[in-house]
Amino acid sequence: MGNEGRAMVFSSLEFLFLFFAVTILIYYVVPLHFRNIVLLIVSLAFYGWGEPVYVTIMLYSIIVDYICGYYAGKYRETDKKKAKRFVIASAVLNLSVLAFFKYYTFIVSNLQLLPFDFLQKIPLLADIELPIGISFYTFQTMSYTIDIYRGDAKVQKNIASFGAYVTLFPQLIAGPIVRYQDIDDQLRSRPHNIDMFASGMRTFVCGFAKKILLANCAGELWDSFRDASAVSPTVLGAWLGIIFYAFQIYFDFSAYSDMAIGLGKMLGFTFKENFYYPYVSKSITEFWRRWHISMGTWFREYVYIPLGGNRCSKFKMYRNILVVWFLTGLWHGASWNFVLWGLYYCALLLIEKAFLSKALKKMPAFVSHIYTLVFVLFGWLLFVFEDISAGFTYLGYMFGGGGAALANSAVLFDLLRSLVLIAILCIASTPLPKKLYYKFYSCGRAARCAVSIACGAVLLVCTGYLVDSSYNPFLYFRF
Amino acid sequence: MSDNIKKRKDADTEAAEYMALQMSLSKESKFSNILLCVLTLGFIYIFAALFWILPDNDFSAEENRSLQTAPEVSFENLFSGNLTEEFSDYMADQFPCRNFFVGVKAVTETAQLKMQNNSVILGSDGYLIARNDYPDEDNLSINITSAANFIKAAEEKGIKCVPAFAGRKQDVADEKLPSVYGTECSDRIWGILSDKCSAAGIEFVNLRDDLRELEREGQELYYKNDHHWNSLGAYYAYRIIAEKLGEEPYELADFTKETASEEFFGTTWSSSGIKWAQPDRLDFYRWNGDDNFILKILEPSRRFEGYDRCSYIEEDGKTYAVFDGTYFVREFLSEKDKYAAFIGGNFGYTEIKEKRTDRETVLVLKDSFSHSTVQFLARHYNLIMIDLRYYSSSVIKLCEEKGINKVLMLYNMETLTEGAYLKVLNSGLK
Repeated sequence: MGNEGRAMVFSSLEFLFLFFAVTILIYYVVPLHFRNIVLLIVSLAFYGWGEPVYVTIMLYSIIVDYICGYYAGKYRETDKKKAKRFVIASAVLNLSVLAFFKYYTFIVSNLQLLPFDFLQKIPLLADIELPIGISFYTFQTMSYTIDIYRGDAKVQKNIASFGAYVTLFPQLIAGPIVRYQDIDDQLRSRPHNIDMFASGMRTFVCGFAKKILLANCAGELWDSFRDASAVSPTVLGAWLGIIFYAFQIYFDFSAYSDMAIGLGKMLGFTFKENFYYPYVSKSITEFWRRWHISMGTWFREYVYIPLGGNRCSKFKMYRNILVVWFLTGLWHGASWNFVLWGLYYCALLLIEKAFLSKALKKMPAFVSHIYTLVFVLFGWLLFVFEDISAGFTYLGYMFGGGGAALANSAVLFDLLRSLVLIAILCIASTPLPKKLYYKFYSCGRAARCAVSIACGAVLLVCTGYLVDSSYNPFLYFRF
Repeated sequence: MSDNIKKRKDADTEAAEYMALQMSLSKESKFSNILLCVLTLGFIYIFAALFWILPDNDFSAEENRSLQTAPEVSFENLFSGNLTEEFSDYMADQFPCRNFFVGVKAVTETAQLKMQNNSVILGSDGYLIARNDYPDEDNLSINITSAANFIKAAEEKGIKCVPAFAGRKQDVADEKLPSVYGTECSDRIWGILSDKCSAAGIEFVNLRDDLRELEREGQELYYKNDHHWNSLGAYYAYRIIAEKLGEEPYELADFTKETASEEFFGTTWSSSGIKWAQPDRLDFYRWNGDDNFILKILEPSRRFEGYDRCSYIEEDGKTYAVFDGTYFVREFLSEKDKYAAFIGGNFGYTEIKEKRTDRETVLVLKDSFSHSTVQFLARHYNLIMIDLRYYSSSVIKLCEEKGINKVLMLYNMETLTEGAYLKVLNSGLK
C-alpha cells in the first residue's frame, strides 16, 4: 500500500509553499462567481499530484452522483420508487469502486481459503494501489444523493459546484466526512473576509503544529519502541510504545481535521468538528462520541437508522449495532484485524449498555478514566498490528511474556528524554489549552497580536522540522 | 447511540462559541488579524519566491551528499510518480536558508530537553554521539562468517591475518553519554560479536575495550563532531595492532604533532543539526621520512586533477591518482570533509608505499577508521588498502599477486553491521 510518499500532505513543503500559496492567490483574485470552479480545478490538481490516474475516479464520482442526485431529486415528490432506484444506483456504483480498489484483494484471498477450485482461478491483482482517501470521499459523495432523496438538501444543478463539493481538497483525503446537507448552502454563498481567513489560519497553524511537533515526534518514538521490542523486548518499552502510538494516531488524525477545518475557513466554509478530546472520556461509549465524530455520524445516519436503529425489536437493534461496528472496522482497512477491532468495540459498547455504564458512574472518576484508556490502548494494539498474532506477541511483552525484561537502559533513556514531550502530549489531549487560549485571546489587543506573532513563529519552527526531515507519514491515508 | 446528538453538539457548540467570540471581537481584532495574515502569508510567499529565484545547489558540503535538482517534467515521469517524489526531495533539498531551518529544528528539539536530535545524542563536554541501539545482527553474521572463511583460506597459504574491530563513539566514549543510557546496548552487540567470532573460530583484537579504558582515564580519543577516532585514538589503536602484527610500536614522542585544522566539523555534527557546537582540532602525526611516500589511488573519475603533488597515470587499463611525497591530501583541509585529508578518503583500492626501500607490504581490509592509522603504520610497512564497499574482485588472489604475508582487517562496529560488505571476501576461495 505504501503510497504515503506520493500523496500531497498538508504538512509538507510542497503543500504550503507551492499548492497553498498558488491556490489562495488564484482563489482570492478571481471573482466570487468562479470560485467554485477554481476549487474544483485546484482540488483535482491536489489529488492528481499523488495519483494522476485516479483523478478519473473523482470524475466518475462526480458524474455518477450528479446524475443520480438529479433524478432522485426530480422524482422524490412524484415517484418515490423511481427516486429510490437512483439512490440505490448511487450506492452500488460508489461502493463497487470502493470494493474493487480497497477490498478486492482481501475478498479474493479470503475466498480462496475455501476448498473450491474455481475460486483459485480468480486473479489476485496484487498491484492495485489504494487510491488515497477513497473511503472518505466515496462516503461523502454518497451522502449527497441520500440527502436529496430524504429532502435534507436541494439538488445542486451547477456541476462545477457539485464537483467542488466532491473533490474539496481540505478534507478530501482524511476527512472530516462532510455531509452534503451541512454545506449545501455554503456552496451557493459563503463569507469571504479577513476575520474568517485569520480564524482559519489560526486553526490551520494549530493543526500544523500538532502534526509536526506532536504526532510525528510521538510516531518516531512508537516506531523505535516497536522495533526495539522485536530485538530486546521490555515491559516498559511495550507500554510506552503503544501509549506513544495512541498519541500519534490521535494527534495525527485530529491535526488533519484541524488543518482541514482551518483551510475550509480560509475558503469561507464552516465544517463540523471531528474530535472532541477523546482521551478524557470516562467510558468507551463516550470515547466514540468524541472520536472521529463525522464517521460515527455517517454510520448512524446512513446505516444504523435506515436499518431501524433502536426503534425496533431488541434482536434487530443488536443486529444493527453489530452491522455498524463490523462495517466501521472494515472501513478502516481491508484486513481482519480492523474487523476484529470494530467487533472489540461493539462488545465493549454492548457490555457498557447492559450494565457497566451504571457501575462506572458510581466509581470515582479516575477509575473510569483508567478503564477507558486501558481498553482504548488494547484497541490500538488490534488496530496497529495487521498481523493479529504479532499484536498478541506485543501484548505479551506488555505483561512480561516472551522473555521481556522490565526495562533496559535505552528505554529508560527514551523515557527520560521524552518527559517534556509526554507532559505536552497529555496536556494537549485535554480541553485545558483551548480554555486558556480563549481566555488569553479575549484579554485584549496586545494578546491577540501576540497570538498572531506566535502563529508566524510556529509556522517557521514547523518549516524547520519539514526541511530537516523526511519523516512525515500520515497515518489515516490508508483508510 | 441516541444521545450521540447531545454530545456531538458540544464539539460544534464549542467551535461556534469560539467563532462567535472572534466575530464579536472582530472590530478590535482588525489589526491583529491583518498582522497574522501579513506574518503567515508573508512568510509563505517570501520563501516560495526565494525557492524559485535562488539558484540551485548541486552538492551539500555540510551533509556530504548530492542534492536533488529540478526534476524533469514529463508525462512519463508524472504517471510513474517519480515527478512528485523528486519534486518533494527537490523542495526539501533546495529550500532557501536550509541550514538555518535545520538549526531551528535542533533548537526546538533541545529546548524540549530531548537530549538528542536526528539520532545523535548530545553528550557531555560537547560530544555529539551517534546513537544506534540495535545494529543489524544479520549483516554482522554474514561479515563474520565471510571473514572466517577468508582467514582460514589465507592461513592455509601461510598468510597471517589480524582481525581488529574498533568501537563506535557510542562504545568508547561511554562516559560522555547520559548515565542512564550507559553501556548496555554497546555491551550487548559486542557480546554478540564475541560469540559469533568464537563460533567462527576467529580471535579478534578488541580495540573497543582498550580505547574505552583510556577514554575513561580522561583521554579524548574520538572527535566530538565526527564519528571517527582522532589521531590520538588512531595512535593507541596502532600500538595494539602493531604488536599483533609483530612489530615494536613507536612511542608517541617519536612523532611530531602538526595541527592541520582547528575548524573541523564532522559527520555527527552534520546529522545532529547542532549548529552551535565547538569545532574539533584535526592533527597529523609526522615523522622524519614521511614525505618519502607515494599515495596511489584507483580513481577513474579524476577528481584530484590539479591537486598539489598529484598526477594521473594509466596502468593495466586502470586510472590511478598518484600523490608524490605525501599521504596527506591537504586540499581537503579547506573543505568540509576534512577527515578525507587522510589518504584522500574512501576508495576501493589505495596503495601507500615508501619510494626508496623495498619493504614488506601489509594488506589492509578496512573502513575509514584505518585512514588515520596510516600515519603510524606506514612507518613499518607499505600498505595496500582495500575498501570492500567499493571493491569486488577476489582478495585472496590479490594477496597472491602482490606476495602478501600479512593481512590486517580493521573495521568498526558500524561498518560490520551496516551492510554485508565482507561477503566479497568469499570470492575466489575454493
